[in-house]
Amino acid sequence: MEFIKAVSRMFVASPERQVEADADTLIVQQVRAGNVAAFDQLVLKYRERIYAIIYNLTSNREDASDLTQDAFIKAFQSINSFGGQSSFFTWLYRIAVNGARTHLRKNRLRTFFSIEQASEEEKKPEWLNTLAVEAGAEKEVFARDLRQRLNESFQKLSIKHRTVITLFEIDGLSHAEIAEVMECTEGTVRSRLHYAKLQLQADLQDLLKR
Amino acid sequence: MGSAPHTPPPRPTLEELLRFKRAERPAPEFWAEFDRGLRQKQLAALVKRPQGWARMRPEFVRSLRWIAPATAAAAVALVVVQIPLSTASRSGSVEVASIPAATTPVVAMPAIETRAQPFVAAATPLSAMPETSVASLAGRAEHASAAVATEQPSERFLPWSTVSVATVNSGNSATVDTVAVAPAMRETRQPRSSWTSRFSEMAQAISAEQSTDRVLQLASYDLSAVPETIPVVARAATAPATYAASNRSERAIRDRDFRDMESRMGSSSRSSLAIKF
Repeated sequence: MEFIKAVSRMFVASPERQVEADADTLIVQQVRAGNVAAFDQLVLKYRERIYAIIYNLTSNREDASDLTQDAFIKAFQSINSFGGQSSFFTWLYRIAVNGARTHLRKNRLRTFFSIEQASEEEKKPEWLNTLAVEAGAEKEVFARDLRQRLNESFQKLSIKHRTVITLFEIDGLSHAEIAEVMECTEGTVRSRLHYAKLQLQADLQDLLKR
Repeated sequence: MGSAPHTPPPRPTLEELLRFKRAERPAPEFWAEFDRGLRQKQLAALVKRPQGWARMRPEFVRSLRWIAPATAAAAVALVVVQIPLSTASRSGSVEVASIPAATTPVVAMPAIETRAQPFVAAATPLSAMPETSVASLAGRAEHASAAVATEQPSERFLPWSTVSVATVNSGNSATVDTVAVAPAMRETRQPRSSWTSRFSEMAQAISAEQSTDRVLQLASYDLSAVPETIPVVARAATAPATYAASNRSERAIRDRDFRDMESRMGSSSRSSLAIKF
């Protein structure tokens, strides 16, 4: 069974991912051998991606920070139970996503947005000017409002739909990788993605290209 | 002069909006704070010894590897053993074991009229029963004394724990054979509906084995509040298999009738049901 999983992973994962996975496995072995500092390499490598996922799931940067730290601590504590059936990054994503989903379920009624800054290169899309002019607002103010609006739309999605669209659109995982992280089929991933996009389109109708 | 084609102002697609959202990044100083917090948590996790359940959980999960199959095997073995036992018990419940006759008559049945009368089923206390309420059997005037056995089994889970069969003689006495099915009935608690059907089975079995002119008395000591005996007397008119009694029409006693009798007897502590056949 393990052999089949390993072989199927080889076909699913891209060569770059495979190289990454092999490098991660080496680091994991070092950590297991007692080199605790080696774990920092894994933290440095994945912290931004894990944070981005959790931030887009929670729309709250304080929660995202705590949950990202918790995910790394949990991975560190359970590194001996990592059996290598999946790649380390899939395993780590699963820990992070499950932690975030548990947090969201526990705090279903509490929604508090705290917005991150956008990186410089994404501040100047042409459509942003158009929408800002239409709204009669300054570009910076409108950009902030738009991020708030997008966060609200994300929070209207169910946790599963939000997770799928975050992993696909924000982190750029493939359907197969998302299926592995969420422990469901690729068909389910595609279906959830489709419905999540439909819902977002309906919610952001007034902003989108007609 | 044609006007220039009007180009709509550019608007984003959903993918562009998502890309805009993707660009949300924390400031660089955020990561310094993040690393500091992570380091603290990591140290705390290294120092902190798991407490209570967290400490036991890995061992418990390990032990589940053999506990779960062992429990399953034990459950299967129990079922395999229980099925023949319960079958034997069910078939054994209709076997009537004779035990020495009880010597303590506790209920004197009322005088019975000589005229033939259709069935009577009474749930009234024996002392309050009218003399005409019980039909004669085989054209004889009888005084039936039914004895309620005084033996109380140590475990009693069914309402009818003692069975007496009284052979009706002329005169004021009756030979009472107490037949007990208590050993066969010592079972786990059953729903009431099955009590009545068990009682029905039992009555049929006794009737089939015993001759007529007998009074079957079933005594219950199930509840312990009021020391009262409330018998129900019934008789069968024709075949032994139909014991039923009704003061209106002939019909066989069915489970429903027994349930009815049983409910009418209510919560008396020491109720009994007598069937004359």
